[in-house]
Amino acid sequence: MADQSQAVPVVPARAGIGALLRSMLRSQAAMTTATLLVLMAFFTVLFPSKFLTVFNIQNLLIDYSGIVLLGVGLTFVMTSECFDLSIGATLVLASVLGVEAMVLVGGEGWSTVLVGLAATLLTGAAVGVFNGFLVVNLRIPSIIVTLGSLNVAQGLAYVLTGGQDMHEIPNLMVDSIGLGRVLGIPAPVLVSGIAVIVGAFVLSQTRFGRHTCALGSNKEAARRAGIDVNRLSIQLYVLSGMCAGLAGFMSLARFGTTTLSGHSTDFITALLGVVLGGTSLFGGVGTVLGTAVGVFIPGVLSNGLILMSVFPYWQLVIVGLVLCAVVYADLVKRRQRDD
Amino acid sequence: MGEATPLLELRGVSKRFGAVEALTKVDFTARLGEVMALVGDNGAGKSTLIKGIAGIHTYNEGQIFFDAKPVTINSPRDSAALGIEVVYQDLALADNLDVVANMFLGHERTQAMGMLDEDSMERTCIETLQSLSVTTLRSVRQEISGLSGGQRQAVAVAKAVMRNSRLVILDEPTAALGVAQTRQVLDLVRRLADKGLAVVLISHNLHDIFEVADRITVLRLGQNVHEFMAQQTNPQEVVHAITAGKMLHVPGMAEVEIQ
Ligand SMILES: Nc1ncnc2c1ncn2[C@@H]1O[C@H](COP(=O)(O)OP(=O)(O)OP(=O)(O)O)[C@@H](O)[C@H]1O
Ligand SMILES: [Mg+2]
Repeated sequence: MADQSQAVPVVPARAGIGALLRSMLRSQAAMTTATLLVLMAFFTVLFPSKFLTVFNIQNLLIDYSGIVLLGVGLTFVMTSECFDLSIGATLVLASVLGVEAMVLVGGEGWSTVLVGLAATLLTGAAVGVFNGFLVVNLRIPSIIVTLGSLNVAQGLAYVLTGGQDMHEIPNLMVDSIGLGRVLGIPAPVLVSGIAVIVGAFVLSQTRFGRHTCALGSNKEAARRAGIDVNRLSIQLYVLSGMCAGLAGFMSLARFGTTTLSGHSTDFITALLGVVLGGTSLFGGVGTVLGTAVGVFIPGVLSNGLILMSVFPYWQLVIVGLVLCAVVYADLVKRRQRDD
Repeated sequence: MGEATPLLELRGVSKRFGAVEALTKVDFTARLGEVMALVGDNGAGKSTLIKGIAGIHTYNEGQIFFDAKPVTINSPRDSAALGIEVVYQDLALADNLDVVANMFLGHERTQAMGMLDEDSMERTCIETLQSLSVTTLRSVRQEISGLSGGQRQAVAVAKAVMRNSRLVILDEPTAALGVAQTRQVLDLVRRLADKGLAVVLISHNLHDIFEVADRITVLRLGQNVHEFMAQQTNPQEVVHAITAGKMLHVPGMAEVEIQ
């Protein structure tokens, strides 16, 4: 049908505002990576024998493996222009129900561990369905819904445990998963690494990821294109909840206990990683690889501050301020584009 | 042209929104190879009429015939399955996605492992744009946010045409465009009909309409006023029909003449 001899200039040109934006995004990812490297160089110079050691870097990777898992799920939800504030609390509730389930079936073997894994994932999925249902069917803004479910999940975790951490976790789970290694790589790092690779593939290379971007970019366009936007929204919350559930399972495996009050800052850290990585707060643009890099900026910062013997709570102050700065930069970018 | 069986025929369709009767027993047709213009003042019911064809909402009464067969259209999917594509006033393209992604949104091609088949989509996208002689796009990998109004309109039209559609409906495609871009879009509209598609064009600009339309349906306050053959009428006559035309039914009243 097409007259191929006709000269239609459709080569992938690298000009125009779209390409400019894309290159800015790319430069945001580049900037994030550069920032991370500068931070690392800084602490390396400051603490030559302490910071850039295999031991320290490995610990850093393990410490932030849970945040990376949360960040993967959050990247998807935020790309669709929604929020999920509940992930930290979901992690906690999932770990509590994971232990409850393992206590219920008893035993110390792999089957018990599998039951625990299933219970944490199901808990995450259930919170996701709850969030998705309220956002989609009752049309309550996602920030409010997930603020509500944050408190529901955290509250339930306290109710179920009476506020006491539970320790009934099979040794096998701690030894082989929490402290385990595969080909020398710590298992928690491996799990998060796989989640990042799968997440990055799904978001950037599949129909599901494309529809997620479209939903965040223009919901009406997505709907008219025949995408079931309600179902997709719920799926995204389930995905985010299950990432939190998996993080809960990994947390149990690492610490051998539920960490009831140990995850109150997980959300803000993951959020900072997501926006630093180049995912827009306003939807339509998201990158899982960016998130994986972004998460380690607060990570390296807190690690370095501890080495500097700065009171570690300063990290929270810095995270909060950096978050505002990054979001402001995103806003400016949007405004420039819309003018 | 002539009196071939219409591809689409609406008979006596009505649409109420609560107490508002937006359409009252409206008849409407669209024929293959022809541009049917749909005109009327603001609030006349043009958008409401096409939303019923597109499956955005269903009419409260009346019948829809497609290929002379009665059909029901309850969702955009039903409409798309018949080969009906609508380019809305607000286009609804995803700004953050590129031209290819937008043209294939909801119908993406995949290969092994569910991976998007970008090459194949890009090729078809380029072919479609070429077949419509759209030459204003610099690259099909440009994001929509970087395109002009006319370029966006061209993308939206190409998207509608790409999926073997038989009826393309355009709601005010030139409303926001300058002279040159309007020219391009009108040429494109005419080319669609010349390719054998049925085209419905909503516009407030009679000059545009007389340039490309074969027939003109006038709505007024949700009712039929008249269907003109474009070559047998003139702008004055159509303007009169739009602003003061005689309506066939007046709901809740005796037959009142509004002359
Ligand atoms: N969803 C709705 N709810 C209530 N009333 C509606 C709705 N949609 C349309 N109407 C009413 O139906 C009538 C017809 O509106 P419609 O949008 O079809 O007009 P139009 O001919 O497309 O006008 P315009 O030229 O301004 O686009 C108007 O009185 C409008 O207020
Ligand atoms: Mg309208």
